[in-house]
Amino acid sequence: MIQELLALAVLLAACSGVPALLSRGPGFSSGRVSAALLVLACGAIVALAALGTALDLGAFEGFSAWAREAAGWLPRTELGLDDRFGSDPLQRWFLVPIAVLGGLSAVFGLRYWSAVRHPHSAGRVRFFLGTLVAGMLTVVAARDAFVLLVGWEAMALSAFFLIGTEDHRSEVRAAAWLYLAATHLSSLALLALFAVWHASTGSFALDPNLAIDLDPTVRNVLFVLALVGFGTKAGLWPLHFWLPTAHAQAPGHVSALLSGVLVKVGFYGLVRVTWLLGTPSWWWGAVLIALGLAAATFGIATALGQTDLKRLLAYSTVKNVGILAVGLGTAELARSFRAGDIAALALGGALLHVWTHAAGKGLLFFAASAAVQGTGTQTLDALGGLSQRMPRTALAFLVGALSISGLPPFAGFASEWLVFMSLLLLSTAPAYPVQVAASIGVAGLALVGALGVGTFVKAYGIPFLGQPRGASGAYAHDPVGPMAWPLGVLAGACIGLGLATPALSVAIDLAFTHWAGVAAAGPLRTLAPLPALAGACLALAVLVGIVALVLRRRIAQVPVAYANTWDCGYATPSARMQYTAASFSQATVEMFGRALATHHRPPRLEGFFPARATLVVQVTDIVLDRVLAPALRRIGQALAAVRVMQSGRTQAYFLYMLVLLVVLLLWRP
Amino acid sequence: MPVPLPEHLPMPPPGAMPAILPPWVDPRSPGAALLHVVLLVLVAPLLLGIIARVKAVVGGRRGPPLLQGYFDLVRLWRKGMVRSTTTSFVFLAGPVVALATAVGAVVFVPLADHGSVFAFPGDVVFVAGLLALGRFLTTAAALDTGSAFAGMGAAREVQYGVLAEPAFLLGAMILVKITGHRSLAGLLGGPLRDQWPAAAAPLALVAGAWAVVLLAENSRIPFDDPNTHLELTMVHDVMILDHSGPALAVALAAAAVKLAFWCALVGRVALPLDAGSAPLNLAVSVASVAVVAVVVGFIESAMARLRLTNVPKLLVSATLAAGFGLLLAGRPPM
Repeated sequence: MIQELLALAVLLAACSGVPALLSRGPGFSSGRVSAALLVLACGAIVALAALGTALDLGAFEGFSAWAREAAGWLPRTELGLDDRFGSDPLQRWFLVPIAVLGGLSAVFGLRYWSAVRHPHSAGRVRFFLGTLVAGMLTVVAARDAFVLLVGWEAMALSAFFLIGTEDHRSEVRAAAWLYLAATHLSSLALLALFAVWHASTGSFALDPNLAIDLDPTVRNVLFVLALVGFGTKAGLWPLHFWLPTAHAQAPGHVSALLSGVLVKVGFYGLVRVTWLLGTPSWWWGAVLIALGLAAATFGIATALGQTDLKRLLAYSTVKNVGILAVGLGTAELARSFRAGDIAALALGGALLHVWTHAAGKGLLFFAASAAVQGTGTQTLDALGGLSQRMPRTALAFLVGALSISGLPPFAGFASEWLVFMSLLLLSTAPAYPVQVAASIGVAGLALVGALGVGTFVKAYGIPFLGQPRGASGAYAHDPVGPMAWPLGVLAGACIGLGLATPALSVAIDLAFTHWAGVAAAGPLRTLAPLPALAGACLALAVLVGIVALVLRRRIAQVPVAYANTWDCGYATPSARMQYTAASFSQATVEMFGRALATHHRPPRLEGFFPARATLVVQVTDIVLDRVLAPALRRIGQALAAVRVMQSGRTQAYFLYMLVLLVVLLLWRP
Repeated sequence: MPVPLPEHLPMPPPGAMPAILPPWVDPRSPGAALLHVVLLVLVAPLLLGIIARVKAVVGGRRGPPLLQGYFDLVRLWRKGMVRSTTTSFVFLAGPVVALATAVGAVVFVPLADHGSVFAFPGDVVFVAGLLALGRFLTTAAALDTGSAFAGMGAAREVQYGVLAEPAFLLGAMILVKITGHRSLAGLLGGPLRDQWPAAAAPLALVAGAWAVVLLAENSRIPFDDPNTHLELTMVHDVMILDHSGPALAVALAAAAVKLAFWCALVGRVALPLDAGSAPLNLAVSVASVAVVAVVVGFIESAMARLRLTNVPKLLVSATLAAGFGLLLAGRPPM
């Protein structure tokens, strides 16, 4: 029954953009209808997920027996949906953030990408937003490789059209093409994955019972293919090369969706395949931990060096995918040693991080988009002092930044803390190599956490604090109406999810039991004292409140004078004297030496009175700019000779086909 | 259903790791534990006086009174305030959150053998998070002023934090391995002194690594000289350059409490002495905090500030020391 309703909701989401697509001109109401349909579909998904969880927990015992009996009386559908669509605890856990962020994104986009401002693309964006959400939901709900691949392609192509929305700008076209190439790489790997799966099990059904007798070599091949296919979509370093440009160039509410949940669909694929293959080899976990740590470190270090607000947020997504991979890898490693408790902590941390990162990154991208729209630029060094013009946006961004940096009492801390806990336990494991891996993991996560604090101090401080740099923010104002609501909802989630972890852990327990096949020694909230953590977070909030109140009362009693910033006696400090984004991160970035490629273009100063000059400092991506781009260029040069064949005459191409067909017909092995 | 695990095996072999969670509130003497927090917070400004006095005596001067830290706080609390027109609420949130997080961190530190007021497995990571939260808002408040110098200080604070945090947590991991606990109360509580004979080398490395982190996190020599007021080279004090009056008092109190937290941490690892009875142990604990402050004073007297470019090297050395300690603590089982 739930399967049928789920399929209906997905269908509704897929079709939700049709009214907006069909209407011509700046019809605001058709856009509203589309958004309302998508919100309805997403609300239904969340409700179904909640219902499924309640049923699994044994709520409505009598009701569910009655429902099963009633369902027996209903005519059976011929669709056979039970084999193709599902909502097991793991699927439900991933369906919820997709639905919530999808709905919020539609609401935010109503004003942000209004038909008045974008008459040509508004309908298109709403249509592909619906298909993107439907595609992601299908991938997660699929129980069959065919359904999964159909959803996968729908998702991948919708994302391509959304990234290329502003296709009159060349950098947008470049980003979209790069994305398209990467998504083909991942689709290719997935086709190979399911071809091997079918060849060795004889079925396209995603059923772990089929994997029990698989040859170890085949299992390893399947794992590696999944790592490439799903890892590319997740933006797992070093396959992240397409992600930063794509997420930076897409419209803001689409970026929120791409960074907040689309990468999680890739991660879901990895979780699903590890579930499918059952008992892992130890090196799967080791590889995931190593890649995850590299992803987290490089992601956040590169993020720290960025001077473009949305690129910075995109690189921080690479870091968070790394943390997800560390969590999954630790769970796999622990599972291969049959350490259920550690696996439960690690996977629980990764699963919780899926939610907390979706809330935080969605909030940050929404707030950043509001700021970018208000100022017309996303270059950090052209922004400043926005909190005076957009106080609520600044506050929302601050909450998101604190949460995503993994700081208590916000939600992002709870999930990272669980991963830390699993690694601390793993460090006392009897096997020495595992101890070493856990120690490196803890040190790496500590480094990543500290870099994250720096990155988000910069992302918040440079554009929102201080004085405006230039006139870009003169007409900026806080978003109103439907554009403001998603900010409030997600800010609430960033605060509330952290305190709600003891309740959420029940659903995580279900998901873990489903994934591992057995329950852990105890519920997650006793393996890690989640209630104590929530209590500590609450106490911290109270403590901050008390100190703030005391200081406020004191300041009200003493005389307060207002003046310029005291810039060491300099009487007229100007906005241009403020520390810039590049200077803030320079010393930290330089510590990484050659591992982080900084591109300097120094200003040319000539003569006694040099003319205006510019300095460009940019931290480039080591994978894309140092390895991939030169390699591809060289391959292109090597293949230049083949280009002779590409004459541009259709007749010549028909000739090639004819020759090829004749050769194929003659060739009989 | 995937391949089921044959049966649930708890990871560490029985006996290797105490499964009992340390109680949240130590049942033996919650009052005494609370007393420690109050004591540590109240003694914090005195530590600044001790350091200054040691430096003065070594330098052949008489130096300021021991209680100068308290005098400063009272004076600032009474003063009026000048506030920059550039600033927003973050400017005041910086000192407020810094003080709250520092006091929050102290809550988890056990003095003597009474446990701590509040403890749970994994609170060591929570404490690291508290310190990071304090750093976030202190640096954000610095950027809020729009001053170039405050921005420099914030950038340095971030840079040093990046290197200090792995050193702190690696050190904590050594203690996790040695004691089997995952809360600060368990890691630094009474039983630590029983481990010294067997694990002297890793414990000494923890104490050393954390001592370096103490100096960096509290902007002491050789990382920063709190006495020179040359804005170009300062770290913490340049970030609060624009704060005045009660706000500056809160910022200085936060710095003092943070110093007390670190001194207590290093003191507990380096000097977990047993004086025989509970009240005496408390006195010894508090004395060990003061001893760490005296050592900091001697270090400040004997060294000059490092060149900025050499600072990362020292912090990396601390991390490496902790790494060696980890190797020594986690020998393969025989």
